[in-house]
Amino acid sequence: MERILEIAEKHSDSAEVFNISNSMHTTESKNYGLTNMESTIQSGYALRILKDGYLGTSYTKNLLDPEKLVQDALVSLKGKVDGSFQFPDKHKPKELKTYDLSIEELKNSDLIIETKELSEYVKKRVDPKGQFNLTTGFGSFQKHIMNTNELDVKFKSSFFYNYAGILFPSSYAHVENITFSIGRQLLDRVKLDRSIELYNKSLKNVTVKSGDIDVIFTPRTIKILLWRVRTGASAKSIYDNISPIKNKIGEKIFSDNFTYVDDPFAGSPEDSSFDDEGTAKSRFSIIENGVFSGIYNSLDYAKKLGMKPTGHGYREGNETVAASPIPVLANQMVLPGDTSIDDMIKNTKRGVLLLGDLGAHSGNIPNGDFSVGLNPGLYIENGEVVGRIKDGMIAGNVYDIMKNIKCIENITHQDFSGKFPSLCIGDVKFSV
Amino acid sequence: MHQKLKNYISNIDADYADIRYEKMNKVTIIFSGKELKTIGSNSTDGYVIRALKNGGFANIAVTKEEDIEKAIKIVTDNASLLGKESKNKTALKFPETVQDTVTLELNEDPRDILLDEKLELTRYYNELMLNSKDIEITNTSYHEINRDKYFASSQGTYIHEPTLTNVIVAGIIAKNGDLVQNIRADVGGSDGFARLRNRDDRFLEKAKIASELLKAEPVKGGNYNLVMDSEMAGTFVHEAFGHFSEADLIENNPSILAKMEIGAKLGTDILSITDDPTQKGLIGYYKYDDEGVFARPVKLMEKGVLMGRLHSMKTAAAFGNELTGHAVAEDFRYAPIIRMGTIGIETGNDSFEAVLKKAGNGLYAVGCKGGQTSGENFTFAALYGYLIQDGKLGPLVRDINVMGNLFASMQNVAAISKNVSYCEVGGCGKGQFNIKSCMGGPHVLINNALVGGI
Repeated sequence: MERILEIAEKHSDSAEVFNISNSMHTTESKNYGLTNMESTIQSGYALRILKDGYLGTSYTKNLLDPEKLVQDALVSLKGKVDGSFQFPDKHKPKELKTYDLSIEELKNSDLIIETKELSEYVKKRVDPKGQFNLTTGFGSFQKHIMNTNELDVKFKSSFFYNYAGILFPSSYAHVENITFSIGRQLLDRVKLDRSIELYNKSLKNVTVKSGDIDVIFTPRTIKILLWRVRTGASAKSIYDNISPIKNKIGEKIFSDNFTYVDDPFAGSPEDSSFDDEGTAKSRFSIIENGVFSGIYNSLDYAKKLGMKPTGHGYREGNETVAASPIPVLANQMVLPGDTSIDDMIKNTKRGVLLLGDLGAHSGNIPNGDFSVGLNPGLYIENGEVVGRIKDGMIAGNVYDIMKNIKCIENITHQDFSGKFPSLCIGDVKFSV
Repeated sequence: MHQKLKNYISNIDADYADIRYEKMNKVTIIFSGKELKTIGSNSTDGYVIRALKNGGFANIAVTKEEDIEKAIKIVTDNASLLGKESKNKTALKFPETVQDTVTLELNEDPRDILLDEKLELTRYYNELMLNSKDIEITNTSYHEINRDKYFASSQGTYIHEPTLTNVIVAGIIAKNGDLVQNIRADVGGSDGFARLRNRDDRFLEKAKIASELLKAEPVKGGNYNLVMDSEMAGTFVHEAFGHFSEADLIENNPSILAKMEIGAKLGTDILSITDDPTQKGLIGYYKYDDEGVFARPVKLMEKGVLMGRLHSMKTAAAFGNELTGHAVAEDFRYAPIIRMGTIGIETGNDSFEAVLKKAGNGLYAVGCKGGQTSGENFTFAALYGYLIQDGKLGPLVRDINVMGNLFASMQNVAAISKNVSYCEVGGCGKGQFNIKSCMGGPHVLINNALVGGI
């Protein structure tokens, strides 16, 4: 990396090198039987150079020729992409415990016994029409950023995850259990038992009339709503003038009980005290008790909007080094409320427990609209889950319906993109 | 390269092994509004190794050559472990051994065109849209992906096949007060740069519709006789039916497999479906898949009867079927999985006007904003649509999301038009992103489809 910086500095006013490397091993079991093992050992480098207010970028996976990486960035520089921002100065990031050495020593063979035991455990308890799929993965990743302002920050993180799903017949709709941790963490049998109970209760298809209904968005499906909210709060949307909440900073836009933050110190494998541009991170509030409290940015959009960088510049996409940093919330959390999930269900006269969705990525996201299929949606009648709704949809606009958050679960659940509770919203449009 | 890959293969202690090396060059130009955000040409490379040992089949993707030895040990250990611990041992159906070098057939090779010219063409289309009425912002990008693939197997197959796609895609956002409406326009393909030129109408038409959507009413949720245009029909056949034809998605799901029995009458008599990756000029074209299998067209449905499936070497053996050449990887970071090539509904006998007439009162859905499937249930969103009133197109409507059940929908296909077209820009996100996933069809009427409004 030093060599790349050294060459780049000769041709630019300032430069930054980003390096990532990771290894991951996954074991898959489908329908109670082992089916696949995959591994990946990947690395990559990205270079950004700034000269005369312009930005040049380049990347590669396998660093065979540092000179070529610099040359590619110089060709890019000729395009005259705005690069009026500055790379961050040297700082000492807060040290976090994100690495568990024992993960490096794990082997797929260590997971086999547990996978088999879990499959047998579920098979004995689940209706024979259903099936149990389990993917277990572990690995580590390292990130290292250096720039010509003497910034030199790096961290190493390990992760272990289980993704378990009990599938409904003729469907991939499922009741899921997830663990995502820095060290090895087994599936919680109490939570698994609860999923099995919920699954068995909802095997029956039920017919429900169209009309407004209460919806309990679970930690998996609350993301339908958060996707729209964070799009509106992004500095990119604000700068592009497409955010419906552009001029609403400090205004109450949602129910009092809703607080949405980005917390990089929450104890997750995704924790980091700096973003992909090396900017220091801290806990950041987007919505505080229903009030729009923060626009999150990257270096580029901070400069464009005359803001201080918030530490949310991430290279988002399935090829990290190829992506340019844009504003991203990497450590999302919705703060818990005061109602248990059992009480949420008990207090619902007519509602949907939305365990999964179809189509969250489509529709008019900038406007806050959603229209998704229930995948699955369990029907709650008089405080009890009585079955599974076949072929239903819910729709709405987050800036309307989230003014009517009835209650929020009293605990959060860790998944791959953050920590979330369940959340109940009244009078959501429902069609069958 | 052949000798190098052969040497690696010879070091793998397995019943079967293959290795794919790819060198990939990507040219990317991205505008956000008037601002150029990214421009560059970058090269990456890497290897994918697969091994079958004692009935277990495993894979590993690795970037650096110096990690290959370690990777070979991991993949053979994993294959062995899988073989030992799995209830069902894996067998593979092998293709005929082949040695081939494939050449690209291009109308203007984009690699011969200067980056500046690509930039100017992208900028030109971008500004056409930005200068249109009510357009607040665009996100317009040029993507050129050149995968130079080398494949070798322990059976003696060696294939060198490059693939090259170039596309210009635009997200267009119109705004009025607090209301924003977004729509997409795209051009592209795998047959050269010439396809991207002189396409002003395509971008201008979509920008005009984005503006008109600001005044359009959201569609009311409910059940409609739904006429889908070619793009929506393509999405329907891809999302709802096509994924069920991918043998890897159903082989471990007995309840779905039971419904997808070959010979089952699943659709109406007018519904026939084929997947054909060999159609030159379309973005889905390729000669060999990423297992070194020669690709061929597969008749999936004939007059409503299920006729075939798409296979990898693994599933062809498991199902006792012939190889089809449908195992494709996004790039060198992934092992191949079963993907559709170019899937389409075959043409019918009706004119577009006759299809509308058969719909009576309903909804005409145009373009696609994304779709998703889960077993027999699917959902997809239209870019926009028109109400159909007494067999004729009525007012423009927005926010159309269709949800349905595959088996019920195929029994509700009531009319199919004579005209057909295929998408120019592909995309499917099943595990990996497949940019060459191509889909299309004629206009198709499905009676009684569920549409969720906002």
